[in-house]
Amino acid sequence: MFDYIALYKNFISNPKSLLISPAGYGKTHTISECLKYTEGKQLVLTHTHAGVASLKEKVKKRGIPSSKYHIETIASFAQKYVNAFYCKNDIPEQDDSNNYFPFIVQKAANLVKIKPIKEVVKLTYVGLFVDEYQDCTRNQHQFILALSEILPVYILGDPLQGIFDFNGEELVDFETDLSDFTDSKFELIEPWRWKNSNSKLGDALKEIRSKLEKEINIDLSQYSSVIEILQIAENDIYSWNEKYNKRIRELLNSENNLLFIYPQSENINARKKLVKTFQNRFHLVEAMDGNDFYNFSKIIDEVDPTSVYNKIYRIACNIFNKSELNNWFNRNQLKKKRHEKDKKIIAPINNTLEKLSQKVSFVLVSQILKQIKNIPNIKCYRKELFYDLCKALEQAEYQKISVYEAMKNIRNAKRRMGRKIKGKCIGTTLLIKGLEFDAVAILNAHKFSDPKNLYVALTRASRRLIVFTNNKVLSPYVH
Amino acid sequence: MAKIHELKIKNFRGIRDFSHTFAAANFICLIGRGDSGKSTILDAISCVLSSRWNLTFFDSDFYNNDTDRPIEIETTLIDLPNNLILENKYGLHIRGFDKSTNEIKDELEDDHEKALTIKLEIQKDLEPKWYVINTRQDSPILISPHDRAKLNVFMISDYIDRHFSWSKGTPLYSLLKQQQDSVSPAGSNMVIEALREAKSKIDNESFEQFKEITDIIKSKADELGIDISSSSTSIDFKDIALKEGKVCLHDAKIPFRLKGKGSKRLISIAIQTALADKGGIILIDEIEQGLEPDRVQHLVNTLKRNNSGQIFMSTHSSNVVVELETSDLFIMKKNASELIVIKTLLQGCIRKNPEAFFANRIIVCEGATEIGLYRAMNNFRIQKGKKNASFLGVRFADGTGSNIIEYCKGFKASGFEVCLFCDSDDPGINNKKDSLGEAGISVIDCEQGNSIENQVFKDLPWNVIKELIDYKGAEFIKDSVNSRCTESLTNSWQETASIEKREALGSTAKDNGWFKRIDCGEFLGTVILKHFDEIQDKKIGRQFTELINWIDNV
Repeated sequence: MFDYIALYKNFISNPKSLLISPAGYGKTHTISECLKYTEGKQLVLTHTHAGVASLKEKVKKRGIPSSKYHIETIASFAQKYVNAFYCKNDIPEQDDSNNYFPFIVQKAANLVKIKPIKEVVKLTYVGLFVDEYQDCTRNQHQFILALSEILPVYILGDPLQGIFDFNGEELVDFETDLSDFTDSKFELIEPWRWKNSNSKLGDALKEIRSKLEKEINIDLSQYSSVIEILQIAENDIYSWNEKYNKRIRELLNSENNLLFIYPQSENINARKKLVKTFQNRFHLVEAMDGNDFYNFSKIIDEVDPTSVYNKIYRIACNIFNKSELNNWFNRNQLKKKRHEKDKKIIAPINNTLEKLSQKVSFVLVSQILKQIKNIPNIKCYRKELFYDLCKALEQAEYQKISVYEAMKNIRNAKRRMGRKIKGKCIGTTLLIKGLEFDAVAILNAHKFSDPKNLYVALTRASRRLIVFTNNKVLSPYVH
Repeated sequence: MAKIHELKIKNFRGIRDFSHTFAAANFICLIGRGDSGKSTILDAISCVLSSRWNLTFFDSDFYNNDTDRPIEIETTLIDLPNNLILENKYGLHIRGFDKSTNEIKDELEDDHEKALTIKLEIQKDLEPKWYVINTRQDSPILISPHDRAKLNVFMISDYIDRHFSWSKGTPLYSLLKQQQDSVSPAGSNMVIEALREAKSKIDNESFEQFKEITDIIKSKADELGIDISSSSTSIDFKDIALKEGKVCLHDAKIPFRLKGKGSKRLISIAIQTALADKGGIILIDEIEQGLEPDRVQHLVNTLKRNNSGQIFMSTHSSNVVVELETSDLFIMKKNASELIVIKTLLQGCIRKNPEAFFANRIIVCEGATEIGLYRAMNNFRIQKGKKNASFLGVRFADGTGSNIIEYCKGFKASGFEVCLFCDSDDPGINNKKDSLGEAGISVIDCEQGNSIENQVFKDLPWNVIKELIDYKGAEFIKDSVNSRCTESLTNSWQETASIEKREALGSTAKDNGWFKRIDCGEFLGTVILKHFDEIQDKKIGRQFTELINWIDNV
């Protein structure tokens, strides 16, 4: 038996320590176990909001008192200090995320070097865990190094999962950047995620991992007893009669905790189209700083009585199923309805529009979006966007700020709180890394062009992994 | 533990706009005439740092009853308790205290100390709100009474009976918390627990939990000269309810709240200084209240010697002032925008003239003779139906001869209006009088070269001089006067006037110190002023007129 307690204790006994942790080997578990042996309050930083949510859940389950830890993303932690202490006016706008986040992290790294601020950190925390270290940009790495002057730092990560190519910024390199940490380096060796649910899947993934590390092609047919493989043509997914489409419907019927992974992350439209194809039976995982959140807020900020109908319609088209929407809305006005039943349905919307054409009110805009959602057969395929937009509209009205400001507040709060993703959804490796689902279906797996993204996709399922590919031999390497 | 670095008050009671930086001062004694705003300053501190959930305010608490201008009390604290500057408390709202300049900066630098600004604001609705503020963040955050309690601020006022009970918000409770914080789990109330235990055993059991603290208080009280060695904690049977407020200190079987005013104050101070041993802010309004001069002096000395927190007090007592250094004293004047700091060159003056520091305007008298003349003049004013000088905020100071120039300049620089009352026979001092005039100090003196005695005997009508000769006895002084005359004096020498006799009398009076005692000076003044009408055009008469006019501020 491997002595895990000794590992935990050794790992936290040095002021700079590194733990290499492959996907599903119990990294999150290790953090929560370590928290049993640490003193005082530990700061736990990770990258994604999803990561925060899953860490919180695990730590809570283990019964660790909340006084012993604080979990947050690196960006929101940095943001907190910059908002609190940075005095100049040159902070980029938050929706300019290409510039905003690097700026925030860099300024935060400078701030925590100032003695009185250092003291606040030191008084509040006793140690620092950084999860998913492979996702750190060089910039974030400098921030963590600055914090390591104040607190002992324990980092966990897996170089093979370093796919977070955020803003195209350069990521930390485990080989060259972590020399301070390599004197105290540990490694997890057992694929725990699959121990109870599907231990053979765990063993297969361990084998695939070592192939990916060595850039050897993966012949999936070798693993057909543990991984469900379906050889398909990409476009078949849209055709009701094709196997590809059928199999997905089967999955939607049989699985409750299901994730579809789409290999290309550049464009959200392909995923939107899939959601529509399957009649909103799964939803989109939204990017935390998805442009639509901010763009739609700005559109409403500029609303006036003459443009209000048009702008609401434009936004509705992006949130609801357009085909049904067009039964009720024309481009410039509501459709005339003859039947009493339809008149009754559209009356409240008509009413609200009437009021809006006299005086613009954000609360009324929110009300109208909710009224649209209540129309029979209208489906909302971007629930998170819908709810956040309604909330932003109401807060903007009550707090007398712009919708854009309100939206920033809401997204920041989520960034701080971490979010949970449940049920059935579709995302890209970037959006779902760190998450775990009962069943995972990888769409068009042959499209993966680098080993890291493929490894992340393969390792998300705890029980059932389905791979749709046009070639059973995967070669995700750029040559 | 927390200390007040800076205090700002706006529209609170008699203060419209006030701000003072105390910097490193740990011991602050406020002096000033009644209604100048000393108590308002102490009340302001006690309000802004109050641990109470709510405080009641009235329209009359607004400056000029003008409720349109909010009451704003703002204080910046340094040496903060650690548990307030955690990130999830107010750690992200700290400001930088620049020790080299005593300034508070919002852009933090490496050599800054942590500071926190707390602001109490009361708008028209009379609802007090406490915030932590700085200029970096747009929206201030609220600070809870629980967190304000960590600052350990206590006001020793008339309502101190509750200081002897172990209920929340009392200094005893804070002491208990200080000791208990590290050991016992959150949410437990040691007092209630102890009370339950005691209730089951009623009086057979002593309250061992509090022994350590009562011991501290016993020794503190002992230092302050009050014996409470037989005290212990027991239930006050006023009415039996399971509430921590019912548990309080007793002297044998008698609750402390039944003790005399002075003793209660001393015990209360003892409890609170025990608290301040680990840091804390103590506010004492009119410290001399209920205490004999020796007891108040002992108290002030002990407080000053053992102070490890910060003490603010106010006093009207010269007994207190003589015990202190110039750096401990801060003068509050009505409508002043800040406190006046006393110049160190007045250090000796405090011992000699503590009363002067309570006045607005000071007449520095060269010596005992001048003081006597001044007193006679004041009596004369009263006889004539004019106002007493003290009523007008005027007080004399004894310049003790050689120090008069220094004192005049020190008082002037400390914000007083100053008048020098002296003679003109010391060239060393005469040389410096011009510089006093330039500094805005009025000088009332004699004709060039004259001592006050010379001036008196030069200017008085002979019949008045005869009165003075009779007072000293003509035979007794004849030889002394004779030795200063060219002619030989007859037995009835006092009957006829001559310039030579006047001069000889002046010199004799001066050299033999006839009037160099306050009572003698006062006698001299009384005699002169009896004949005030006859000497108005003489220098001595003009001196008195000038004194009277200066007091009347005309």
